[in-house]
Amino acid sequence: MSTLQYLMNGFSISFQPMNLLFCLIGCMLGTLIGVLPGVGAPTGVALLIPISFGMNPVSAIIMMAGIYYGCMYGGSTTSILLSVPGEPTSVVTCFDGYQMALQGRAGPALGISAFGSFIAGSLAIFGMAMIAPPLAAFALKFGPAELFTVMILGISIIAYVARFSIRRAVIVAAFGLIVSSVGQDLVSGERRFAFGVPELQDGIDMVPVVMGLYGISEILLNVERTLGGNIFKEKIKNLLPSLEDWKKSILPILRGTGIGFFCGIIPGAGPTISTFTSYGVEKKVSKSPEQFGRGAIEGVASPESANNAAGQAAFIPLMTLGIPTSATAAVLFGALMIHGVTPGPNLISKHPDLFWGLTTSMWVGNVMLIILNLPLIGMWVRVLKIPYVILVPNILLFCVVGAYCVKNTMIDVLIMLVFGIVGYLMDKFDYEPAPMVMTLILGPKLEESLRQALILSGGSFGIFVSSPIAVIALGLAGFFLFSPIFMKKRLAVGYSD
Amino acid sequence: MDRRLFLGGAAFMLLGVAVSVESYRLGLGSLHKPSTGFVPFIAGSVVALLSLADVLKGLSPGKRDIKSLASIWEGLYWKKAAAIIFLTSLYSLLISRTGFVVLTPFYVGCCMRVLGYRKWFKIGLTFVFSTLAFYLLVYFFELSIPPFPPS
Repeated sequence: MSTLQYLMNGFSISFQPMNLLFCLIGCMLGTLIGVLPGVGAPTGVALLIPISFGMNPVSAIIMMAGIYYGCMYGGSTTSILLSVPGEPTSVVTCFDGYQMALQGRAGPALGISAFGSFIAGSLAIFGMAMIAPPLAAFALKFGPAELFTVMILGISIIAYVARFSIRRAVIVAAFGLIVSSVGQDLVSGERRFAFGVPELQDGIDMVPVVMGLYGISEILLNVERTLGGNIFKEKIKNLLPSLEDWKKSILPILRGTGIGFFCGIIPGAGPTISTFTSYGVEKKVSKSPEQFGRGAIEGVASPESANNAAGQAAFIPLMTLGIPTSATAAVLFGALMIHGVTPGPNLISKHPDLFWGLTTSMWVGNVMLIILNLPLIGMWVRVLKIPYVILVPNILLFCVVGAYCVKNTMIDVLIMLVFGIVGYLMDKFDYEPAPMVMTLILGPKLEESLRQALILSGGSFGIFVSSPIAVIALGLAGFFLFSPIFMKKRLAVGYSD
Repeated sequence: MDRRLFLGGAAFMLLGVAVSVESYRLGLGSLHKPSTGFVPFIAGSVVALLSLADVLKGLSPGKRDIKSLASIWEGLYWKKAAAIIFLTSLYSLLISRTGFVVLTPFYVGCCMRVLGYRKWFKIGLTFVFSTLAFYLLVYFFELSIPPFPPS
């Protein structure tokens, strides 16, 4: 079958009424999560996992993917209207989006953000359809050594872009590896770190851990926060950008799409990095860089396009290599595993319905988002007025129910609470949780690859430098981990170490 | 001395050492046949060694608190956070005994009161909300939640 035939088959799956409904649910929930500061995409996806147990894998992943890219749309709303980023990917949009709102141009800012996201998402999905199958075929050549080194590369990039020091990110990543090893050893069958607790002998599930680290800890950090102080009161008009706005924005949208797509494919780089990079590029190439930070529409169009393109492109390494490129992608990885689907080189050949159904549903979701989100801007603004004291208990309730329903045991709820406190303390002591989520989910595969590689090589570490893929991956990992020591700063990230 | 740096590093260092010791007890195997404790031992050692750097940095005489230890608690009304954790723990322990429909309104209502919400009528609406949520979760999403106290 040709790619076009696969796409047609994919559309026939994504246009099934139930899949359309679940796509809509995911997009709307994702937008809501993106709008609400304090509730992140990893928590949103993790919350839906227990709810998705009764669904077929295709519908489940369509819904959860809807949350992922829906968040990108939603996060920009609060960035533009309140200068409060709903998601980390919307931080850059605050710089010029809010200034545009203050100048009475909130409508064009929101409009160009939505249209730019749609264009970028559509192009990225097309890129995914073109690149993923040959990449998966290439990845079939990966042996345990290549798989191990590529995963190490992904972890090193996550550490490189961490908010705090790389050393602490590596500590947290190793901590995640330790947590992932609780339970039964996959090779020998021996129990590790269960300490006689029967519920721990099957290991620690990632759903309660993610809900704790991203949901409960966020609530503890913001327990007194109220929303609404500077709610935008003016009527938002002119959501359709003018011809002049389009003239200024089309090239930034296309550049942002390219940057975002590239960042999305690279394990660890992701949407957040793409927004900063694209903003920096636009400022450099602009004829009036002094306008950036004062309401330049290019400063909204490019990063919003970049983050959506990166969000869609992140599915390429996730589905073809089995490498999640962000905490949310890692949770999606876990969700697929729970539904009996192993992301990796064999996914496209073994589950073509899932891959092509998901790819086409992402385009359908983007259409839904652009049709619904602009007219519903007023509704999202009203959502922001809901006091946090009403939101918090309901978020907690769904976290508890979600954690409870994983295995119908209260141990998972207690695990969630423990990791909620851990996540809170980690934030207070300047440790970022994202590397931990990645290694928690990749841990079993990482360990399996390492042990298989060593068994194959008879104990020699030379196997990790015996193939070009492994050498390149290790070399890049070394660059990301050690270059800041010599360069005193991290490129394209803006942090020093 | 930077106490924040020291405490964070010390906590992870102790964890790393404990994991390494337990992993060694489980057995490391050999390089050509790694055993159960091999990867956790490496992970624990990495945590312990890298955290040692933070501990030493925190102890160095020239280092002063960049952020004070008290700032950890700044902005956090710890009693409310502790109350939320307590209520959530209690809810999770009791849900299988009392059921979702009975216990949830009390849980949500108590959380709202702890957080300072005073509108009793709206808190009372949580009963309606929890019943609707129950039907949505059980009949649409097919989750297994105990509805009522077991007979």
